[in-house]
Amino acid sequence: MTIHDDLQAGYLEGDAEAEAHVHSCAECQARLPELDSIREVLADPASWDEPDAGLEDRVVGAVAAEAAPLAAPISLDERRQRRRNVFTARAPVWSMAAAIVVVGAIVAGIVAANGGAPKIDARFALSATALAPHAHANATVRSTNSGFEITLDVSGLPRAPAGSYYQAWVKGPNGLVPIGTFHTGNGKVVLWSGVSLDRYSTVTVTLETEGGDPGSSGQRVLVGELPAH
Amino acid sequence: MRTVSIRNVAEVVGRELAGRLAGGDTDAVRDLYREYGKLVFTVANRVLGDRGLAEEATQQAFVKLWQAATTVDAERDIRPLLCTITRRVAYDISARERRRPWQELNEATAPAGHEGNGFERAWTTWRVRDALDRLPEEEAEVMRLQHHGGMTHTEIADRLGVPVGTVKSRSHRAHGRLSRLLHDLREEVAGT
Repeated sequence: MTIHDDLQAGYLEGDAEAEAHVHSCAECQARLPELDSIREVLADPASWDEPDAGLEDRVVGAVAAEAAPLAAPISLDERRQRRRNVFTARAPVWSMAAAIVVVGAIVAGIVAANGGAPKIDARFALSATALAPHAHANATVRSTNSGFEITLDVSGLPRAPAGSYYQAWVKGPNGLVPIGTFHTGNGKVVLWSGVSLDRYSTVTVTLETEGGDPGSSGQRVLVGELPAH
Repeated sequence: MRTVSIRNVAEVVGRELAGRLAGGDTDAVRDLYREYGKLVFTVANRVLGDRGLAEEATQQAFVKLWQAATTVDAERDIRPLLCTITRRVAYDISARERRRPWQELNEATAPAGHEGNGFERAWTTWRVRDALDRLPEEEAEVMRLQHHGGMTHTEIADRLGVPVGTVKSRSHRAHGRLSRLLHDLREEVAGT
């Protein structure tokens, strides 16, 4: 421990001599912003509070409730592989997969082409967030020559306030891609993705302000995971 | 050497937990809370200044971390991501409590004094609280009475029933240890 270390410790203690030294010594001055930020934290009563002992169980319970509708845990590699499969394989493969894979209510199955009915490639659900706790949406994905048509059946989402709108996004390792905007809170909403969904894992809906930053506001009102099957 | 070692261990633990979370391991959540729950709470409490709201923010932060599990990089330390999520959740709750129209919620409406260097402030809080929790109990108690209780060395000595000299040496050792543990804080903030 050098004399400077010793005096920097004294500075944190609030020792007057150490303070005088730190302010006049070039070596110690270089560390002054760091020392001041530490002192600021120490001086804030909020830094010393302890959470309630029951918080751990509440946190674990809240996450368990969030996780419950999802399929059984699988590895990340397996998720990525399954996600690639669903959007790149052809209909016969989907039919076979649908016959052997049982999927949950939210992470949906794969349905093969069926007469004149629209071909649904995948179904999934979007869940509420703290910003819109009653919102929910069921979604279907259709692969077309123009791109991927994603239809949301939305409920419990308030109409976007004046001067604002909802924007949907797909998110993955390649970043965030907008797939459409809307303002209604309930009913069918048709969105279009021009990017291949096998490279994206999540669909989100955010609340945006007209004339605001073109990037996402981060104010998510619905979140869903693209099916990995 | 000790500081580097603790930092490396913390990063290894952070990566291990990120890997488990990304793999969909639900048991990882309890371990994440035990490792970081108090730090998440402290970051939120400094933003919100209210224990109840800070607990709400803590719960939301872990739920959001879970929701983002499939996008978590299993090779990277989970702590900066959790710290960022916590800060955003706390700001959102702060804005809600001020009854602002929700379309105005964004980083620009962060609480006064928190607009600039938001992550840096949150990360500093995280690291300082973590360092305090690593101090020997008798040194941590002196720190708490001094900074939180606003007591002088003499008052602390009376409270603990030990000589003033003992309090002074514990205090100096504690501050020295804290200083060393946080010696690379700026460098670390720049690197995260």
